[in-house]
Amino acid sequence: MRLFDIAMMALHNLRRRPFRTALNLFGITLGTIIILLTAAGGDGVKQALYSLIENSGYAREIQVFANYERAAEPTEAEWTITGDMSDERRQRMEQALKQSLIDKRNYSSDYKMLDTEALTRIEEFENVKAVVPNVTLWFRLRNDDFSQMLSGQAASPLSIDLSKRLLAGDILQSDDAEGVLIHELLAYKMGYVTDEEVKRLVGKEITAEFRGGGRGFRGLAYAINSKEDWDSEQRFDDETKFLGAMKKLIGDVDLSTLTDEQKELIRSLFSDSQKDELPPEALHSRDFKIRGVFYGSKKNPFDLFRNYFGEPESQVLFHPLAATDFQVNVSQHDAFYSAAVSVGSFHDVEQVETKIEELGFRTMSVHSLFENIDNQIARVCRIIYFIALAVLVITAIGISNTLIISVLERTPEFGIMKSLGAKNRHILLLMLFEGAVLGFIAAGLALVFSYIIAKLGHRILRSYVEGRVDETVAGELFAFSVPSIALAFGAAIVICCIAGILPAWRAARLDPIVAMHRN
Amino acid sequence: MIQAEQIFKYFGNEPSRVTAVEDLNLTVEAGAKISIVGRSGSGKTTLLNLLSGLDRPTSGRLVIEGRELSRLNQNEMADYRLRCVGVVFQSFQLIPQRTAAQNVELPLIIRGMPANKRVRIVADALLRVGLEHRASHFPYALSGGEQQRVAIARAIVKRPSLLLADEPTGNLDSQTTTEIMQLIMQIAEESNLTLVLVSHDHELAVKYSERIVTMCDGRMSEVIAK
Repeated sequence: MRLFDIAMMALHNLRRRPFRTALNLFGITLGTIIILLTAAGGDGVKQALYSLIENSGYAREIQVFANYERAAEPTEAEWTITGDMSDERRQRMEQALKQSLIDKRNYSSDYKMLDTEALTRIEEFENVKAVVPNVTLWFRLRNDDFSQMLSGQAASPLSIDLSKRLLAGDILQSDDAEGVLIHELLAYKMGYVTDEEVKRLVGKEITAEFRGGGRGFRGLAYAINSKEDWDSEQRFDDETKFLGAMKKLIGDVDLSTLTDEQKELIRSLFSDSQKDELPPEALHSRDFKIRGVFYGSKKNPFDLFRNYFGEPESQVLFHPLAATDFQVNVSQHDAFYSAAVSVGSFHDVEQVETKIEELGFRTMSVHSLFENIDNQIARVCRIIYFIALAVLVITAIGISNTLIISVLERTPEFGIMKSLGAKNRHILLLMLFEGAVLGFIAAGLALVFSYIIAKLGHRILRSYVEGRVDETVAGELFAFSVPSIALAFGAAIVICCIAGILPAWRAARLDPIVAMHRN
Repeated sequence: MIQAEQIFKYFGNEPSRVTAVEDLNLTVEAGAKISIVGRSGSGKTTLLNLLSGLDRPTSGRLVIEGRELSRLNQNEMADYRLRCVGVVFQSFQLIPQRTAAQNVELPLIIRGMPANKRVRIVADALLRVGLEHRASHFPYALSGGEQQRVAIARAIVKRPSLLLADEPTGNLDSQTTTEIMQLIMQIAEESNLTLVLVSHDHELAVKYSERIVTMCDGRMSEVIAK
């Protein structure tokens, strides 16, 4: 018998039993659809996520954090427990003691902060484009008759995300320490309403007043004036006056009747501990020029490029040089808890991250999240593949059962075929082909339905994702690759053939005389 | 040519063993037309099954067209059934889900003949049995006589040298019996086939064969040459 004729006979037999064939096709098509969509969706969603992240600029940013110096491990003598007790209890207590010693030492060990020297070293690394310390500035903005308390942040001069959210002007240039960007709401509050008026704001000068004082003064000032809101101008003025008074008081501490010990204590508390100087001026005033007006995302009007890392909202963005100068010279604190490092390309992130970690700092980047995303998607895919496999196996059992019934029904037919000269392998192939034809048709149907479902799913998912991240999703979320289609076809055909093996074997072994006369 | 020497056929094992054919010796020349007659259970159908290659003798030597059937393996036996022998059964043994033409076509499909050649040969075979106008009908739409004609067409379509007919008119009325037997004889004559007719009807055997073999309890009891 020719294979073509066997296939045609198999098809003919399936058509003779339309309802049973339809039920089998439904099961195997469903399983194959799940396999196809999982494979296509797994790849497509991953690629879309990668594309979203890479295009957003987050992929080129590394967050660097201060790190504690790991303390030396306690020695055995320190955690050994002596006395009469069971070994189990001794081991339990020794473990507890050792852990408490480690925790205590780590807690009290020095924190390695990001100082200007560390930032400069990081900036000098190959492929690093910008280093922006994460610092929040509290200040009063003055412009003509306008005056308001505000918070500000440092912004990367290279920020791609910020460049997409400019209403007027341009992002900050690398060496433009005098430049600032302001939020559109602030522009409105300043009286610049229409688009034309907002454009005229670019190039205008503003004055920022920072309250000075070291850490000791700032804490005391907060303590005595905590009933007012942080952005109350009254509070700002009161604290400034208080710091001025304190400066004079510290300067004149020798004239007081305090004991030498008390005088020394006050000096140590209120002077900068690092520089051992008296507190600087209470009010620092700086002039800046507005270079651009920006706006937030649809989801969050203040959502800036670093909002994902938990930064507060800000209406003024300073150049990193200005922010660093404020931290060092106004706040008298040459140390940052964290900084954002921008690199030229996503592919440079891992290498730069390693170098930063070698300096002793902790890092976080989207690059390290990629592996996590990969793992999560792979895990979900594995679960869905398992479900699909279970559907296919259950269907295969059903198909096997159907084919066995079919063999019983067609026993006389097989007997006749054998009496006419059909060999055992012809009957075997005929039954296996029935399974294979079933699998092939099911895979074809699954491909068509999967494509339709994928198109619908793509639309729904794309609008959902774009609504969430405020970015355009590039490419298809369900990407059908040749290997995934081949996998689906292979799985459907192989499972149907396996389901047909037992019935086919039974049919092939039939005695033609007995088979012909069986009803 | 059929040559059977000391053929024994048993079913089951001792002590419940049944002897279906016992010490059968028979020679049938090529082109001869013989009948095997006997009562039910005499072993005539078993003998026909042995001759058609559907069953094997327990012992003895059975040579048909130069092939010693007892020495053939399963595939060789299937090949013998496909190429050398055509069988017409009492109950027609047509596949109900296939049309008359498709039933006739089946041996050619098994042989691996291309579709375009099959169409012409099947049409010829149906023409010979007078059913060319019923080619696309399913068995349920055919009368008993027509069904048997389809079975005859299927038996001869592969051009065998030996035609076996097992009670071919057992389910038919007397007029149709005559028509069918005349058709079988005509085809056997035209194609110079060796014909072995199995029947319990002695008159029919006398009318349509040159030699009659009578069987009783598995033994060949009498051979009558006309």
